[in-house]
Amino acid sequence: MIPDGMAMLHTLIPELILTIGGIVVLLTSFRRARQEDDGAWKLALTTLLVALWWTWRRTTPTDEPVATLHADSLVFYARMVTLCIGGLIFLACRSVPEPQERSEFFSLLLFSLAGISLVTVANDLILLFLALELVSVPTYILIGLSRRDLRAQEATGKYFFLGAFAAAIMLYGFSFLYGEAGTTQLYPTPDSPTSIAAVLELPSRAADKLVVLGLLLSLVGLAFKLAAVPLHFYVADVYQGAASPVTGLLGFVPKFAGFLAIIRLLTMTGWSFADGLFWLLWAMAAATMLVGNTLALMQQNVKRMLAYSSVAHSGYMLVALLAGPAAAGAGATGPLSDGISALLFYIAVYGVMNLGAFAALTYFRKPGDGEEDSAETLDDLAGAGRRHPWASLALAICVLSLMGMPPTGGFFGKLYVFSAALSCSADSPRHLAMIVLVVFGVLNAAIAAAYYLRIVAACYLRPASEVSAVRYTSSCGALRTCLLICAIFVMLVFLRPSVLLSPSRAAVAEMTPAHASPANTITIGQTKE
Amino acid sequence: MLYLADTWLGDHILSIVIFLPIIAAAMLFSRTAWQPESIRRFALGISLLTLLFAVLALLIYVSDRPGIAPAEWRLVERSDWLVGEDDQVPLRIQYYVGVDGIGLPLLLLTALLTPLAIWGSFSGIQDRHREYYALMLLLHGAMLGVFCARDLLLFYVFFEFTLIPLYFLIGIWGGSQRQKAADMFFIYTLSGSMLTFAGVLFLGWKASLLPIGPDGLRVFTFELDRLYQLAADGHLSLNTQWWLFIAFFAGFAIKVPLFPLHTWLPLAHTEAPTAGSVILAAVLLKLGTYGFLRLSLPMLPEASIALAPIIGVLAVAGIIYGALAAWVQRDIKKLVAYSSVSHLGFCLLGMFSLHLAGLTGSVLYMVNHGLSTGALFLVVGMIYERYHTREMDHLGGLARQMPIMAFFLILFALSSIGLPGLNGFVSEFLVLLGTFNSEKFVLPGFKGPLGIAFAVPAASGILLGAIYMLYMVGRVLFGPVKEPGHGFDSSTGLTRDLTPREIGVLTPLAIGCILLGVYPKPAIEIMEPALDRAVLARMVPQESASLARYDLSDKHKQAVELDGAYPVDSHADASNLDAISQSDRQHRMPVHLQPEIRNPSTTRREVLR
Repeated sequence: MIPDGMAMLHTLIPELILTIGGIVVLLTSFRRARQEDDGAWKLALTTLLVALWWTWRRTTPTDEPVATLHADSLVFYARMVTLCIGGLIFLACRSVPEPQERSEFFSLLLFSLAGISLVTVANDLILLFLALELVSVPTYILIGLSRRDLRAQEATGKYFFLGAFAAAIMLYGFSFLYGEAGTTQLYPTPDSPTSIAAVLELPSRAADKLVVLGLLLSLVGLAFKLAAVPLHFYVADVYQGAASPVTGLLGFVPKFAGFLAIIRLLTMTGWSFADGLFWLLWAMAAATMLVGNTLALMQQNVKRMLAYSSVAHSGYMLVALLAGPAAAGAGATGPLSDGISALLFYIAVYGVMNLGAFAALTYFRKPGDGEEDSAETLDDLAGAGRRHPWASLALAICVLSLMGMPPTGGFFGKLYVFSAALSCSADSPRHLAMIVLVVFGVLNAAIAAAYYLRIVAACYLRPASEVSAVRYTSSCGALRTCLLICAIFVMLVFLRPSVLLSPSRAAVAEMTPAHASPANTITIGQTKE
Repeated sequence: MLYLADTWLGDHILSIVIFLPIIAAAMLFSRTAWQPESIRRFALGISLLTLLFAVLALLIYVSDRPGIAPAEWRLVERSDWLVGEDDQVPLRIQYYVGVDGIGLPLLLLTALLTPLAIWGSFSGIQDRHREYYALMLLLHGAMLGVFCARDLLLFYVFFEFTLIPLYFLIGIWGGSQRQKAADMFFIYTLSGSMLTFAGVLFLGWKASLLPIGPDGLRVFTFELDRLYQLAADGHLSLNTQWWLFIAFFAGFAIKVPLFPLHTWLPLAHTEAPTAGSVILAAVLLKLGTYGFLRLSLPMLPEASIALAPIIGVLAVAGIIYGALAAWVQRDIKKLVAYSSVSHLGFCLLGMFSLHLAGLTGSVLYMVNHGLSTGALFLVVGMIYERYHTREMDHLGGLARQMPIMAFFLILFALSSIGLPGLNGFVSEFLVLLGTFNSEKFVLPGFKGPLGIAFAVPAASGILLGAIYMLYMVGRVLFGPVKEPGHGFDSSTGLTRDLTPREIGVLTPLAIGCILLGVYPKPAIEIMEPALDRAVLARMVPQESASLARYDLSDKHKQAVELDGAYPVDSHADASNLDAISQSDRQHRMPVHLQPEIRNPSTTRREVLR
């Protein structure tokens, strides 16, 4: 038998690869002599690929559970998605940092990615918190490193202070959960059965005000990472301040980590939302969709527009979250009824299409203050369709996918999310609430079309303006590859949805914790008395 | 053509028809070095090839397997799209196409009009040729796909996708307000169709809950035949049907457009380039009516019957309003656009009369409106290319300048008015006949929802139609010669009267108008059994269904009189999961044992003769 420590290390090999690789990349910064080559980038990308290869082999021993770590199929999915989209982020970011800051930049990126997979691995409140901070803290710095601009510094400051504030709220919520359960372990394992989940299983404790308060505060803290209303107000400034590829990263990395953490926390409660929690999430989803879309409507700056659209997309994902996992063993489940796998599907598609849109913005260069800058406003994009037909086509594909139009992956994303929301708990009073939410969601998707269309219209319908239209394109081959992969992937998900659907469904297959009896894993239809 | 049916070509003909233009569009987009001349020739060639395949499909359809009942889906083809068998409830989202007597005429209409629209834009489009023709071909494929889809999700995908190429066509090559028109068109239609999307998902989920269909399995699927079964087996309450009807209504009524939701149409039609208007009026509006016919009526029969009077009121309001609005237009193109609102009102009126004559008239109306209004837009575009104006005040007496154009304009205007002998008459007559007789169509448990109260005001719409059309024709063609100040523009190589190319564009449409006016029987014979079986049989109470029919073919009638049962049933192929389920057939058997319900049908038959 492998000793506990060894088993733990074995479980963590992909994260260890990323972290050790990150440290090595950081150390290469001492070789200042050769600033011009991008050895750091190559080394970091190699690290990522090694981690990907290791994850793909799936050598994690699932039969040797370690008390503080998970090793289920969700971990596998989270790692795969993180590393694949992480690879795309690496391609997009290749030319972002200043030559002398390359090693810092790419090592921080590796740390941040390692953080995401740690979030799913964590079976302990403290570890979960640390993992979430490991995701966030590097992103604060990445924003600052990405640009020499004053706005980037402002964005860093805002993001850092508000992020710290949200982390404090979340930690406060965690403390209630700990106080109630007397342990920081999330789920029971054969070795240590005491856990928060086991405590919540007792009906008397689950309805306790302190537990609800603890969950509520944790969710509010995590809402910051999702950029969900009411903690959405930072997005526009932060997204605008960061360099475009880093903005693409910001749309995916914190969001994915936040949703994974929420999935872990809510699975602990057996997805039996108390009434208050249900309506809170319901209102949060509705408000997030509406506020994100309406604010995006008012923007002229594409980055700000996509920032608010990322808020709106969090709203769609919250709808999926609210749908919850399909009722286990109830027999009434359709294949597209699992909200969690819909969420996992959607966020992967969203990560790619969002990154593709920002990669396209990066690809279009315009003369900025002193040096050239990536395209930002709608005016910058005017006439791009004629000058750069292929890049504009890729941008159009990504934007149409964000809109949810066929023939793109975004269409299947919306299909899966709304289908899951419609199919949860047919005969409960909350079913009507979900139908209302779906109708609200599809109407929001129509509102969203109005501003997404402006991006497409700027590229194709408007003549190139003399002053500020895109003059140059980026010469970075990696960026072009990233754009190409994003566009192709988005189309591929439409033509063969099963490439992503099967993994996302497999991801939730093992997610039901070991202790959960069928009676406990009920859908949101049934409230705990 | 029978020998083709079993070949590879026969098995895949619909996919070829749908994807040939789409693949060609992708090829065209990547040919950056091509000259405009070769791009035009390529696009026209591909669309003509598509037409050829569509005609082949028609021939195979008509001559296919005589043993099989006349009205079911044919040329069926399916392959997996998103399929999972490992669950308790398998997932089966398929690429599933086929045509029946409703889809086929519209398929042919689309296949005929698009090459003409492409050919017609050779002189009008002087800019960005490659993108223009690629988008036209893309739109072509998507429209063809809608009429072939047998899977609701596939239908929706094609339905929704048509927005994208048309958005660009209007937005790039349109008139001065093109961007506003394109945005309005896109967002207006998308808002409606997103609600339809929610309805589609709801239906799919609902169908996955219950074992339906002959195999008695629970499947998560959007196959139309399974979804039809949902209401037929009584799994949809009237309340649910209501809400679903509204969800579908939102998407289709905006597309049609039905009266209060028509506001996007005049702007989009006027601003679109000629070919865009042609496609928009002739085919895209039909997606809405086709949606009603294919989805709302048979899938939600009870709600459709309950709401038919409301739709009827809106349709009549649209007929009158559209005609009055057309009357006061000074812009010829706008006039034709408003006439579409009026005409599509007729189309919906006939459909919701739930009377076979009305339904047949309605489908025929779709085809006829496509031919005549498409042609009118082409003629208006030809005038515009010469004089750069569409204002009636600036034009006059053109018959003397352009006699050939005058001939075509008069012909298509008369066809649009519904002059006997031209195509418009037949469909208008059938629609009004169906509407008039709707209320006389009383069967146990069913009463036709419309009646004389709807038909009379609708008939006055025909009168108004004659007024505004003839008024326009008179202003533009006759009287003293009037040309705009800048006169005739020959810079694009046009002659004063129509060029041979333009005559070539209009002639097939003129032939179509005359043929369908003089001899509509073959078209009606294709449509009628399909409508009877795919729509009416699912709406009218089953016990009376076999008597609620009239038909034109003697053989068919004899069969009805001899054994009372609809002859389809006796031939029905066991493997055919379509349409009417076993239980329906059993229900229909006791019919002839009840003599009292024979009366309505006999009176109906007399009325119809």
